[in-house]
Amino acid sequence: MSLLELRSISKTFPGQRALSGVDLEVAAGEIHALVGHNGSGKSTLIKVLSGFHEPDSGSGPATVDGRGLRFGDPEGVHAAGIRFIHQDLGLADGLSVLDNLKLGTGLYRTGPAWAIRWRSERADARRRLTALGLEHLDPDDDVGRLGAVERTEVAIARALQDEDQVRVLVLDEPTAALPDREVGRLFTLVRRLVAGGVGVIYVSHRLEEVFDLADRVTVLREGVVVHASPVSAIDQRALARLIAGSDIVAPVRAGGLGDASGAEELLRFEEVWTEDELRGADLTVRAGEVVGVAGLSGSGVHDVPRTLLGGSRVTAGRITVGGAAVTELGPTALARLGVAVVPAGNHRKRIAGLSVRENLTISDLGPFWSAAHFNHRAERAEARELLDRFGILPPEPERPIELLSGGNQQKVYVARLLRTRPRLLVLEEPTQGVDVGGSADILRFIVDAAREHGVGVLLCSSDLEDLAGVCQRVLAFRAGRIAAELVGDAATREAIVEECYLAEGGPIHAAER
Amino acid sequence: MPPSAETGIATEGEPTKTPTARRHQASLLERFAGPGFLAVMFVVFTVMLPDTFPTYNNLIAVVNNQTITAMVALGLLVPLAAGVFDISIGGILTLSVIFSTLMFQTTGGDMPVPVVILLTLGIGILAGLFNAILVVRLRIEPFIVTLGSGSVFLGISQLIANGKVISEHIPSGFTDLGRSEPLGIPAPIIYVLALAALLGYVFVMTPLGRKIYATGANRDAARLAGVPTDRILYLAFMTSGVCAAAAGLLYAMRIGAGQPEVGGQYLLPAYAAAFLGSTMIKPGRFNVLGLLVGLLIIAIGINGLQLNGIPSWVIPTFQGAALILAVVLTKVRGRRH
Repeated sequence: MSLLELRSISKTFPGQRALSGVDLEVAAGEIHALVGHNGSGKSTLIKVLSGFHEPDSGSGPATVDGRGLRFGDPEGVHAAGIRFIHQDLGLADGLSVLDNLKLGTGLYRTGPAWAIRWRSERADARRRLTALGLEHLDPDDDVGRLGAVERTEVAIARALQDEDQVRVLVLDEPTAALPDREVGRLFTLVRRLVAGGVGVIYVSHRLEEVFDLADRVTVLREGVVVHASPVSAIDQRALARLIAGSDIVAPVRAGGLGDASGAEELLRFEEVWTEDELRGADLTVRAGEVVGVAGLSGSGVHDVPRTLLGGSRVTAGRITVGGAAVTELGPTALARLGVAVVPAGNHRKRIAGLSVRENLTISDLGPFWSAAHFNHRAERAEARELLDRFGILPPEPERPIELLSGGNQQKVYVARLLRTRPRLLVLEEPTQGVDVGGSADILRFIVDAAREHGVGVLLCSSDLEDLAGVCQRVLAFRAGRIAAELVGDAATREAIVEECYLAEGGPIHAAER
Repeated sequence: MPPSAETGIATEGEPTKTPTARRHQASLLERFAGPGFLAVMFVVFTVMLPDTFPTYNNLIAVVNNQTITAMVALGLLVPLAAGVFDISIGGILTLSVIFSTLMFQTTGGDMPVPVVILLTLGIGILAGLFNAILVVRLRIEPFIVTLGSGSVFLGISQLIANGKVISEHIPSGFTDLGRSEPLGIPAPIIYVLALAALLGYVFVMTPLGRKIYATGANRDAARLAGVPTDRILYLAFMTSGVCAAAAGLLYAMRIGAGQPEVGGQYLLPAYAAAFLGSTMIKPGRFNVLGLLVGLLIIAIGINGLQLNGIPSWVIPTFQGAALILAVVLTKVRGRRH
C-alpha cells in the first residue's frame, strides 16, 4: 500500500489551469522523482501538498497511511508527518546551527529565571546530528558561514528532528545550489532516511540525479501527469522528450532574419569564468542576429546577463564588445558601448513612484535637454508615441508604473532600452509572467529591432517556445559552458530540452551507490 | 490618488476605461490642502490677534527666523529625494559655525571674508563627500553613517572650539551679510529664495532632477536603467553638506558668534518641513515649494501659538507632531492605491 496518495488534484489560478487531475503515489522506503519544465505545475503540486494552496473543489482525496489529509491545513500536514525542504532552505543566517534547529520547534528547555539550558540543548542537538550521520556539524557554527552542503544538511536535520514521526520528506531541488561533487553526500543522507522507511518526493531538474537516486518518476507537463513509471522502465532521452512534449508545432521562425554569419561581431565571451556559474563560456552575437541562451537554473544561463551587469565577477577569460576588450562592466559602462541589458524580475526594472512616461524616458533624457531647458512637451510626445508603437495599455503616460499589468510593464522596460538605440540588446527572461499575447508582442519588437535596425540580440530564457520561435541560433548551457549550439531549424523545443537536461557520459554519481 | 485608482489595474487587451490620465495624478485638493491649511491658519491668527500677528515686523521676523532651517532643509531635500537619509547636517552646521568664526578669531579678523566663506563651504562639501564614500563604497546604511559622522563633526567642533563660545574679531563685513536688509527684506530671506529657485530648477527642469528622483524611487532599477546612481548619491550628500555649511555661515553672520552646540536644533524642523512638504504641491515627491509651505506652516503655527501665550514646550511637540503627521498622510495616501 502507498504511504502517500494524492488523487485527482486540480488547481486553477485566475486565467490559468495549473494542475488538472494529478495523481501521485509514494510508497514507504521509496524515492519518487517529480520532474517537469518550468511552469509544468511541480511547485504548485508541492504547495498544494504543503497546504499553502488549496486545490479546486472536487480534488482529492489525499491520504497518508490511509488516513485522510485535509487540504489547506499546514499544521495538519505537519502532524501527518510530511516535511518539506524548499529550495531556499529557509535558514536564518547569523544564527547558530542549534538556533536554526530550534527555529522549527520554537521551544528551548529552560531552567531558573527562564534561562535556556544551553548545555543540555547543545548535547541534544549533537546527539540528533550524530543520529543522522551529520556529526561534522557543530551546533555552535554560524549557519551563514557554512558551505552549501552543510546548509542543506542543517535544513534536513531541522525537518527530521522528530524523526520517528516523519513519514514523507519533500525535497524541492535540493541540489540546485550544490556543486556536483557535493551532491553525493546529500544522496547518502537521503538513502539512509529511505532505508528507515521514509518516503521521499524528490523534485529536480537534473535528470541524471533522477536515474541515480530515484525508484519511480512522475513527469508533469502543463499541469498534467504525462508519465509515471519505475525509473528502470525509461531512459534519459525518453524522459527529456516527455518533459519537452512531443506535440510540437513547427517553430515559427522569425521571418526575414537572414544569415548573420558575415555581419559585424558585437559581443564575444572568450573562455569566461566567473565567481558564480560560468566555467569557460564561449559565445558570440553578431549584428542583426537573435541568439538564444538556454539552460537549467545554475547552468550559467542567468549568469550571462548577471556578469554583464557587474553582478558576477569575471575570474578568467575575456569579454569583447565590437572587437574591443571590455574593461568595465555594469549598466552605465555598457550603455556607453551601445549595449543594453534588460534583467529578469520586475522589481529590478520598475521605478515605482515614477510615472509610465518617466519610466520610459529615464535611460536617455538627452534629447529633451538643450540650452538649460527641459522640453517637457517633447518628452510627453515621445512617451505617447512609444506607448502607441509598443502597444502598451492603457496608453496613459502619467499613470503610475505599478498600476500596469506585468506584461505591459515588461513592454515599458523593453521600450525604455530599445529607445536608446542599442547595438546589442541582452534580455533575461523577457516573457516571464507575461501572457501569450504580451509575449508575442515583446518577441516581435525584438525581432523587428534585429531585422530593421541590425540590433544584435541575446535572449536568455527558460521559455522553450520563445527560443525555438525567434532565435537563429540557440546555445545550450550545461555546467557553466556551452554544451551545444543548435542552428536554425535544428533549434526545436525538443532538441533544446535534450541538450539542456542530458549530461554527457551518463549518470555521474553512479559511483556513490 | 482618487479611490478609483484601485480598479485601474489593467489587463492585457482590455484597458480599463479612464476618461483622462488625470485620474492617476494627485487631485487639486491633495496638492493644495497644505497651502490651504496655511491660509486658514493665517486668517485664524489674524482674527485672534489683529494687533500683533499680522504686522509686517512680526511676519518678516517669523520668516527670517526660519532661514537657517530653510537652508538646511533645502539641502536635505536632495538626499531625501535620492532615497537616503542625512542626519549629519546638524553636525556639519555646527562645524561650519565654529570653523568660520574661529578663522576670524585666530587671525584677529584679518582673514578676508570671501576666503572664510569659501573654505567653510569647502568643509561642508568634504563632510558630504566623507558620508558619500562610506555609503557608496562600503555600502553602509546612510542612516548609520550620518548618525555617526554627525556626532564626529560635532565632536570636532567642540575640540577646535575648546568648549568655548567664539565671538572675538568677527568683522562687520561678515555679519552685515546676514543682517543687512536691502529693500527692507532681510538678506537671509533673499539667499533662501535664491537657493530654493536653483534647487527647484534642478529638480523640475533638468535631467539631473529626474535622475535624483529615479534613484530615490528604486536605486537598483534606476542603476540598471542606466542612471549613474553612485554619482547621484555623491552629489546628494555633498549638496546637503554644502547647504548645511551655508546655513552655519548664515547663523554665524546673524549671531556674530559661534557656539559649539548649535546644530542639533535644526535637524528635526528640517525633516518635519521636508516630509510635510512631500505631501503637497507634488504629493509623493520631496519638492521645493512643498518644503517652503511646510516650513511656514510650522513657523506660523508656533508663532501664533506663542503670541497666544502658549508655553515653549509646544515648539518641539508641534514640530514632532508635524513630522509624524506628514508620514501618516503619506501612508494613508499609499494605501488608497
